[in-house]
Amino acid sequence: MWRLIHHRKIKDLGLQLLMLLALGTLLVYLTSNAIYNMGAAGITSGFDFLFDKSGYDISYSLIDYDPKTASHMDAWIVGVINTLAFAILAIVLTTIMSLMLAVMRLSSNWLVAKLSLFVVEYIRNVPILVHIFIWYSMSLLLPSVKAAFSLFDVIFLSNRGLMFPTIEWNSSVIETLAMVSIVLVLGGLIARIKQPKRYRLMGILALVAVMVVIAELSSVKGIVFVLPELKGFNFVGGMTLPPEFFTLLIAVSTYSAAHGSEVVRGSIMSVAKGQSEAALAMGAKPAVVMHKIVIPQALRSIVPPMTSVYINVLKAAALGSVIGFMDIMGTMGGSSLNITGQAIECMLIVMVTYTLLNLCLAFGMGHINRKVQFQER
Amino acid sequence: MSELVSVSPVEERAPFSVEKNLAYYFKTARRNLFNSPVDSVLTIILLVALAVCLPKAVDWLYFSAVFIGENRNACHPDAACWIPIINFVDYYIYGPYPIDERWRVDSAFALGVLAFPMLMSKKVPQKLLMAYVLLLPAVIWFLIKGGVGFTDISTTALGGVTLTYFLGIIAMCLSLPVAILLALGRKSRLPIIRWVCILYIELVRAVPVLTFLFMASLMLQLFLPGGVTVDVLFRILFVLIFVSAAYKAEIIRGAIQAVPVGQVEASYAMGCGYWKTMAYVVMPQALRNSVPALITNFIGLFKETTLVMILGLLELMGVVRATFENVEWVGMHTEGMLVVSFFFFIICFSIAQYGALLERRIKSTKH
Repeated sequence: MWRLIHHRKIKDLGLQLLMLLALGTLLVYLTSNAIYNMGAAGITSGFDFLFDKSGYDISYSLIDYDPKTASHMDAWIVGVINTLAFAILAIVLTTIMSLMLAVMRLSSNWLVAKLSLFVVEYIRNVPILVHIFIWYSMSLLLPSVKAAFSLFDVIFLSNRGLMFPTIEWNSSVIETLAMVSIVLVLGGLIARIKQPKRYRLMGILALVAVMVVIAELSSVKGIVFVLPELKGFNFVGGMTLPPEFFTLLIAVSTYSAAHGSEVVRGSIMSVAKGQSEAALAMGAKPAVVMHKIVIPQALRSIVPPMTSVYINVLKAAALGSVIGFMDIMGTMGGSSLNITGQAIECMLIVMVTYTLLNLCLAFGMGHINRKVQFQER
Repeated sequence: MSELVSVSPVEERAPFSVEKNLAYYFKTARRNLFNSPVDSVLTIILLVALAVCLPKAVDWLYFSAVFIGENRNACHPDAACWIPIINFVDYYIYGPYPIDERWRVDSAFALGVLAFPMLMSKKVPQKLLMAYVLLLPAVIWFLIKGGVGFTDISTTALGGVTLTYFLGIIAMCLSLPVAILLALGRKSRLPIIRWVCILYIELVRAVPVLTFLFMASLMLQLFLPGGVTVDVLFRILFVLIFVSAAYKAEIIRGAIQAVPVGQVEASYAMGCGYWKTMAYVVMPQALRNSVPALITNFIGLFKETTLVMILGLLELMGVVRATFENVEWVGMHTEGMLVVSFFFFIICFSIAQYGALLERRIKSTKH
C-alpha cells in the first residue's frame, strides 16, 4: 500500500486532484457567498441587462450614441471602439516617436544625443498618471474657440479639442466603381514599370491625388472636404478630437515611446558592429547602411519586446477614466456597473474584452515577428 | 655556439595623453557638434532654443518664484508658487500619521535604504542578506502599521510618501514567493497545475491593473460571507501582490529557463528530489540572474502605486492633489505635479542606475 502511494504516476495524479479539489472548493465557496449576498441586496444576475436602456451619456463616441435609446450593449460597443481608436493612434505615434528618440540618442551630435537621453530618462521614470495630469492641466490652458490656434485655417486647436477636416463621399455607386477601376488599371500599369519601388509608390500616390482633385473639381462634387468652421460658439463640420482624448493620446504615447526607444536603441546596438563597418567599407552611404543592413537585423530583436510596449498602450486606455475619456473600463466597468449593480457580469465582460483585444494584438505581432525573423531556408 | 644576447630592459611607456589646449577643445567640439552641415544646423537650432527657454524656465522655477508666504496673495502670477508645497511638506511625507510616532516611519525608510549597499557589498554573508530581505517586509509592516509592541496605527492615518513606500515594499516582497510558485507551476510536468498557472499568468497580464483595483474596491465584498469586511488598504495590497506576481513569474520563468539543463540533471543524478533541486540548485542561480529584471519590475510597481489614488487612498499623488483642492490653493496643480514627478524621477532613476550597476557586476562574475 505504502509503495502504491509513492508510485510516481499515482502521486502526480493525487497532487493534481488535490489542487483541483482545493480550487473547486474555493470557487464554490465564493460563488455561494456571492449568490447569497446578491440575493440579500436584491440584485438579479444574468446578462439580460445588456439590452436594457443605459441612460448615461458618453462624452466621446465615434458612432451614434443617444443616451435616451441606447442599451448597455451599445455603451460597450462605444467603449470598444474608443479603446481601439485610441490604441491604434497611440501605437502609431509610439512607434514613430520611439524611432525618433532612439535615432537621436545614437546620433553623433553630442547635444542631440544628450537631449534625447534626458527626455527619455525623465519621461520613463515618472508614473503615467502624473503625465496624464500634467498634460491635462496644460490642455486646460488652451485658448477658447474664438481664439483657437489654427493651421492654414484647416486644423484648429482650442479648449474644445482638435478639429480637422473630414472627407465626405458623395459619389454614386457607378461613379465610385468607375474611379476605383481607373485607379486600379492605371495603378497596375504603374506598378509594372521597371523603376525603383519608391518611384512606383510615389506614382500611385500621385494618381490617387489626381483622381481626388478631379472628383473634387468636377460638377458632381464626388468628394468633398468638410472644413471645420466657426459658427456661433463652436465649430461646425469636420471632426473633433476632444481634449481628453488627445491629452491621453499624448501622455500615453510619449510615455510608451520613452520605453520603446530603449528597446529600439538596445536592438540597434546589438547588431554586430562589423556588419555596418563592412557595408561602409564597400562604399555604401550611412543612410543605406542603416536602412538595408542595421534596421532589418535589429527588427528581429525589436518586435518581441515592442509587443509588450504595445500591449501596455492598449491597457493604458483604461486610465482615461481619470480625466473623463471613456473606454471599455469607463463604460462597461464604470457607469454600467454603477447603474445596474451587476458587478460580476460587467467585470467579466471587461476582462474578456481586454483579453480578446490582447490576443488579437499578440497574434498580429506574432505574425510580424515571423516575417522579420531570419529565414534559414 | 652560443651568443649572448643582451636585451636592454623595456622602458615604461609614458601614458597616452593629449595636450588639452584650446585647439583640442575646438577639435572635440567640431567633431561632436559640427560634423556635417545638417549637424551644425541642428546644433545651432538647439542652442538657440536652449538659450531662449532655459533662462525663462529657471526664472519661473527659482528666481521669480515665491517660497515663503501665508496665502496666495503673496504669489507672483508669472512665476512658480512653492508656498503650499513648502507649508505642507511634512504632510506630503507622513500624511496624517501621528506626529509622536513619526520616528517609526523614519526608521522604516532607513531600513529600506540600507538594503541597497547590502545587496551590493560582497562582504555581507549570503545568509545574513537572505534573512534581511525576508525580514524586511515584516519589520516595515510592524514599524509603519503596528504590532508586536508598537501601537497599531489606523489605515486611514497612512498617507503621502509613507503609504507609497509601504505599498511598494510590501507588495514587492510578498509577491516574490507567489511569483516563484507560479513560475515553477508553469514549468511543472503536471498538466493541470501547468495549465492553471498559465491561465492565471496570461489572464492577469492581459487586463489593466486598474480593473483589478476597481474589482477589489467594488466587488470583493460580494464574495465574502455577510458581515465580514476587509479594510480597503489590505484589499488593494492583496491586488498589488497578486497582479505583480504574474508579471514577476514571467521574469523568473525566463531566468529558470536560462539555467543549464545539466545542472538539474546532475542534481537529480545525485539523488536530490524536485524541491531540493529547485531550492538548492535552480533557484539560487535563477534568482541571482533575475535581479536586474526584478529591479526594473520594482520601479514599475513603485510607479503603479499612484493608481490607488483613483480609489481614494491618499498616497503621494493623492495628498498633493488634495492640497490643491483646498480653496486657498485651487488651480495650482502644475507646481504640485512637478514636485511629484521630480520625486519619482529621483527615486526611480537612482534605483535604475543601481540595477544597471548590479547587472554589470553579475555579468563580470559569470566568467
